[in-house]
Amino acid sequence: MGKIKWLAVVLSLAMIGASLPLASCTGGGGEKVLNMYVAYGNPEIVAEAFEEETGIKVNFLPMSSGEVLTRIKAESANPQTDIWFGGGSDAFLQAKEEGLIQAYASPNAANVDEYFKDADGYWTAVSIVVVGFVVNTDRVASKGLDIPETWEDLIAPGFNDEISSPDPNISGTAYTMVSGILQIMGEQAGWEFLDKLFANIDYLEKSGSTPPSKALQGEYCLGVAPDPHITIMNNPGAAVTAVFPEDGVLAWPSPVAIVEGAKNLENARKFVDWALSDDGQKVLMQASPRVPVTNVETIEGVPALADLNMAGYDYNYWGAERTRVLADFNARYPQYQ
Amino acid sequence: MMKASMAGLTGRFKWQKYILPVLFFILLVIFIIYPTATVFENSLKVNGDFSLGNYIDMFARPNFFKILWQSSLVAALVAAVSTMLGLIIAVVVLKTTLPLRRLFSFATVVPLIVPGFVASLAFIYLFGRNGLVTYQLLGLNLNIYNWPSVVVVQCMDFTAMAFLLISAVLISIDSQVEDAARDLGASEWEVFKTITLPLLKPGIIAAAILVFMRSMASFGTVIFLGGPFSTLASASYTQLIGAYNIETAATFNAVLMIICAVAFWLYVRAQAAGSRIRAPFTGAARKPINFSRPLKIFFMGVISIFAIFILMILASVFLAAFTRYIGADYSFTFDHMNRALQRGSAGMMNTLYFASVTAIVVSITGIILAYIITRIDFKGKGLLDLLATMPFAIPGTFIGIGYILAFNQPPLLLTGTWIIVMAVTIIRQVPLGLRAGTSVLSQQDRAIEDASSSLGANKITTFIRIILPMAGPAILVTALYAFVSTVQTLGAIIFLITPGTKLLSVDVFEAVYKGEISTAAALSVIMLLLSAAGMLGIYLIQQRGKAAKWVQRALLQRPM
Repeated sequence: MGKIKWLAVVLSLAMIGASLPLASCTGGGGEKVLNMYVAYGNPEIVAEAFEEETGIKVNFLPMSSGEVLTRIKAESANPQTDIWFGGGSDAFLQAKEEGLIQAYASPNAANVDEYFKDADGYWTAVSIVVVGFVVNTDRVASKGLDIPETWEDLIAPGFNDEISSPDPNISGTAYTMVSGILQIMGEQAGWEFLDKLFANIDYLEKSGSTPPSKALQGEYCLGVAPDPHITIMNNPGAAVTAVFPEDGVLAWPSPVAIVEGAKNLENARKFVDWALSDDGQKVLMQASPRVPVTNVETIEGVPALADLNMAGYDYNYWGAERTRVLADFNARYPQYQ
Repeated sequence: MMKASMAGLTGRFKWQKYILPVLFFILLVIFIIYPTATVFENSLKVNGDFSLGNYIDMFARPNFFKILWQSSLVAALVAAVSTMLGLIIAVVVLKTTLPLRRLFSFATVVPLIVPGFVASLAFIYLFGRNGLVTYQLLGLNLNIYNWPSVVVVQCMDFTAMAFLLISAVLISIDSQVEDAARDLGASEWEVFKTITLPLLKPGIIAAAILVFMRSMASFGTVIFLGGPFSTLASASYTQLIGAYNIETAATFNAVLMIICAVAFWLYVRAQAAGSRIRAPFTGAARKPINFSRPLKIFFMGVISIFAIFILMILASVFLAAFTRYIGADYSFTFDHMNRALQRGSAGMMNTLYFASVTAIVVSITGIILAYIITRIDFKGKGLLDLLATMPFAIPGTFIGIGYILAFNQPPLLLTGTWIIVMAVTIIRQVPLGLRAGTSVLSQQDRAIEDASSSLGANKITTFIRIILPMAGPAILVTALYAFVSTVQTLGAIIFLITPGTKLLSVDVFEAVYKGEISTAAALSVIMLLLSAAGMLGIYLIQQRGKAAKWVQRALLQRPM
């Protein structure tokens, strides 16, 4: 009967199909493969350049750094990734504490200032993430406001319900903003300032990447954003500008680390060395034009470290204080709960 | 006669008939019960020790009860509105001769292939504080970031399901009953109110409960449009992704699961009641009901607004994908599409592959399972049926967390492999396959099977030579539905995919999440085309024969 034959063909095709990825995905240990969880822009550019240079095939999966942490914790019995690339240093600090990443002293880490790497070599920054504002110039003008230049400017009544910010419980950007202001102004004056700031913010976004896109779409005057200049560079022609607050730029390192139990350890080490080399740094800049931690030349649109009034944000201290600060935050602003 | 021959066949080798049921039973326990139990187990653990701490913490949260009632209230509202809309559209399309019916039914099912989070983005673009319609055209300054927007977009999303479910029941109503009422002097409105509507009741109730469950489980719209508004599903998502807290996420999901289980129980009861009421389909032609003029105008008004809304959303997705920068520069470009094709190619191939294998496995397994359940007598039949239907009630994020927790340690170390992703996509669709299979088999004349047995064929031969060929087209339709459904799956797989098993739906979600509007739109156009291809297949098969009629009712109850 014709139909039975047809079904048999489909079934056998399905079986052949089902066995295919087995061959392609596992690829055998120690081969020319590297698995990576990425919290970095345009990882395909990084993957391609690294593969070209070393012949090592990179499988990457982009996600937020919180997601990476959740996953490597859940997968610790059977690590699925070799490299954790990009994200916030706070999550790396926690990962080091929980034994989820391993130390590696890359010779190229010498290019990076002490301030931007772990003292025991568990992670090294590949770039820094600066906190600033994406400002929609059209909307600001239509509301009769000036483009804000400092943190202080944000508490003006004109910005009431015109600021979009993520929730510090969820977003590294927002947590850095809150704790950074406590550092710049001192805890008491800092909280008083934050009272006024959050009085201008109607609700908190559930993701750190939403506020800049809300500013971009002209939904709000301003979005608190990680690396605001990148939003501007990615959307030429849009009525937006990047602001780095003059009364103190907050930043944290965006590290690379090798996951504990990495199955392709040699390749992982090669990747860390490469990411910190001059060639690697240039590629990273193309992928995501962040402020670099080495002396590599910046491309147009990217501010150099020296041009920013850095607040010297103590990410180590505030990383350790996270639970306390967030508890205070949540108690102080119950309206966001 | 049949009983006798069965006893004769199975009397000697009684254990044989248990081989398949036991095999399925084991698989279902491993892939449904075990992960479900693991989530509950984790919700009852603090740092590895048994404790009610997570629940105590959760109930002590100042916002927990607010989230709980907010989620339920919004889901109930979405269920009520979607069902009402679905009912009106089904009645207009199938029971009137009003114009533009084809367009309305097309617009209504479009959301089946546009994911809710993409619709959210388009909604912001059209109706936001700076929206094309609300602000730039009408000069309104609306604050859209709150629960009403979530309700609007979810209603748009889920009305399709209500519409299809209610139409399936509507099709099966025998017009002779309505004619009888007419002959007794009832007005058209009385016919509708006293005859048609009561017959539709089981379908309406089932649709409302299903929409309620899906609304409870969806988090995309809430994250993008909810503003300060949170639900159980969005809170469990942010707990997992933002606050890095698996145990709390498991606890939230446990509560979500309990609510869905209750809703599911109500649903099963409604279905049972429905099958008692439903009269056998005699094949009599459907007759339109001639509603009064004001009512017709009201129906047309509601549906037109709804259809225009959906078509605008769809149009803006395409506009964003093919213009330089939506809202600022409307010149045509293929750049976003190129970028999407480049970035999404791995995800696209994986999606095609996973969806195809899922479709084939589910449709074949479904008919086998259905055959076992409807044609073989064994103990534990009801339990097997219940087990295979369960995934339908389990929220996507719950099953995702369950799999990540259950399969990250020996003996079943599956995290990070393609097997786990495949297992999830298949398990999610098993109820669909089973329902479709049962519905086909219950329509089939058993005399032919009896004849086959009398001629000496055993069960397996009968299945292969009689059942499969007859169910062929229905199997194909099931496969296509499973395909479309898998292309859209997000919640269940978002925590499970790894660098090697990236899927298109996750690519789209990420692009939306990062506010890369144009790329997100271009990626969703690709995803939309994939689903549309599947839908087109279903349509063509339905045109060719009445194959799909049996399955339709069961198929439309797609899990998320």
